[in-house]
Amino acid sequence: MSRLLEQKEDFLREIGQNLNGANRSVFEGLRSSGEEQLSKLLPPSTKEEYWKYTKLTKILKGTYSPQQPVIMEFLGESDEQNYIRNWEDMEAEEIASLPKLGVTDRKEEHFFDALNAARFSDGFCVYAEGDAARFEVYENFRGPGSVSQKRNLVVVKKGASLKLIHRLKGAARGAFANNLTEVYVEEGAHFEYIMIQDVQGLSQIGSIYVEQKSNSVVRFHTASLSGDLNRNNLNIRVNGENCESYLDGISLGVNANHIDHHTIVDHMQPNCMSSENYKGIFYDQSRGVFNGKVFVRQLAQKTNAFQSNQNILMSDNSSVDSKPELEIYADDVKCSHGSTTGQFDEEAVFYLRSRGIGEDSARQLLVQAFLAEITEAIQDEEARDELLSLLDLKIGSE
Amino acid sequence: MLEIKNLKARIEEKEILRGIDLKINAGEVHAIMGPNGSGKSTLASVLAGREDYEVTGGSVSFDGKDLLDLKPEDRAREGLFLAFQYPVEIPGVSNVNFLKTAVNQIREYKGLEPMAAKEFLKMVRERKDLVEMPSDLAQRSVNEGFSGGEKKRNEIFQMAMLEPKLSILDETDSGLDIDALRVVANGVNKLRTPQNASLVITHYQRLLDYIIPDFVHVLYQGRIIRSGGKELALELEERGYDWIKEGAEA
Repeated sequence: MSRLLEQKEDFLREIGQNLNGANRSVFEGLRSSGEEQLSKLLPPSTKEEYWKYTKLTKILKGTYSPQQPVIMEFLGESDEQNYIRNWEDMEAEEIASLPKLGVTDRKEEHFFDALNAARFSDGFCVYAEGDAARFEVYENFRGPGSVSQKRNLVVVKKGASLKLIHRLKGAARGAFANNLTEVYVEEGAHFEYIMIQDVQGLSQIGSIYVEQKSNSVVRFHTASLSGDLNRNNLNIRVNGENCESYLDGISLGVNANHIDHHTIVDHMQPNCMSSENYKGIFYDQSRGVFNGKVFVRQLAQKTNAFQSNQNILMSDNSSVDSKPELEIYADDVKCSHGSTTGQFDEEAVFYLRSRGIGEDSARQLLVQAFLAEITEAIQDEEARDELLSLLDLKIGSE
Repeated sequence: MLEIKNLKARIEEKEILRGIDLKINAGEVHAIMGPNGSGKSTLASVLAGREDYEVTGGSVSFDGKDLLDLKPEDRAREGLFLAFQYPVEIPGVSNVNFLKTAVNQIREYKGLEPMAAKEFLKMVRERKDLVEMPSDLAQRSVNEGFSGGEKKRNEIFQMAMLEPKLSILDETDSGLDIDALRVVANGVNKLRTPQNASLVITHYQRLLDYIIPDFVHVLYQGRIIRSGGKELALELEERGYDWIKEGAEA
């Protein structure tokens, strides 16, 4: 037996199968296709381009206590027009009336997607028809070695507007999460998603698949603030004209944390714009990865795509692999990308100190300034303030 | 106020200051002139505490304290101010926010309560008028996208806000046209009191037409080779440095 196959079997046994409230006949199709994929696929290794910079050994060799639930809590007013619910609390017909779960037609689907389809235990469904829906999700990690596989669905109907703040909180040594969220943004709809990852000891793979229709606007903000391993896969298919897609993120690496942002923006239709801005600060032995891929299909003329990744290494032992990529098949487009990774600007530190500002405050001020561009891009004021104070707290203690 | 005795400093293996003696009293303006590479900017950097330089000998006492023993921020808190030759651009940090942090950390060092927001803003308004600093510059990110003249004006604005005992102006005239020079010099003059002092470092006599020094010192090869009154600056302007250099080397 190959080493990977052996690892796969041990891993699948360890994380167990705990379907909970999501053990329903309406999901049978999804589960069986997941099982089928899972039986064929091996866990990704660093030999694969998509996983090259992120070692998963720690996840695959983990010891888990899958019976410990990871509790989700929701905030926000649900009504006929806009709601957030557990799968458990939804009628089968209601689920059937929503876009069918499953991302099997996407070529980027991998082992962890299949695993989620086969074994997800819970998840939220957010539906918005109104023009000012706003919901919050807390996932609280407590037990060491806990396992969480949520399958989430977000539907923003034609012309609707939704803000969703999703927090992973708590502390759980050796815990594992493998969430998969599908997002459908219909014509003229607006969606803002703020994800705050702040669980000590967690290794998580989070995948988001987005389908965007014409004249829609999406904003994704991903803040990875703690956790042993954060791998974020954000895939947006821009399948309509005049769309806007904004993707940004903050990586705050400490100790031996590993933070990996993989994004794909697939421009399939003309006259759209996308803008990506990821910034990282890496202390101690932390590592960062950024891989942003933009496709511009032949049909997608007049695409305007922009990508930027900037990192500051705060220690000699921290490192970053940054790889912005463009694949363009149309001839009338405007695309640019840039990536910088460097040390702290010591001249700026000295300048601030020479004005009476202590060295630690000077560094803190400069880190906040570096990240300000990202926090300012968050439109939801409450979420922005929350993130700012979290950052103050964390940067202040470094 | 400031007493420098036999100060020696080097960067990497290169000896740059080779025994400087200088005494500055409250109320005085001293000018240090000298050809390029004589050690003028090094002296400013060593006094402000820049870590690239290693002090290899001598002492500096500032109001009775051992200046060389203090961290850069503590030197500032004790009342030393360096106007940079090349002020640093800091995107994302607003001028006002930065100054508020600086003012309050200096106050904390002195055992004072933080300044109330209203009082602080009033101070900003007054001091920016004093140095003819446009309002939008005060609000913008520190020096970001400022012209050469605006950056130097911002240095003087910071000086006005922090009320130092001793200001060191490092080649503040470099890169300024005559109008900007006048504005900057006016600011410095308005801030002059019998309790504070300035050390003006310059290559040219031009700045000293506007900021009249009480003493002029010529720095050459890391030593002060001549000191005199303001007329020494005029003589240098007329005759260049060679005649003093020859005297020093002889």
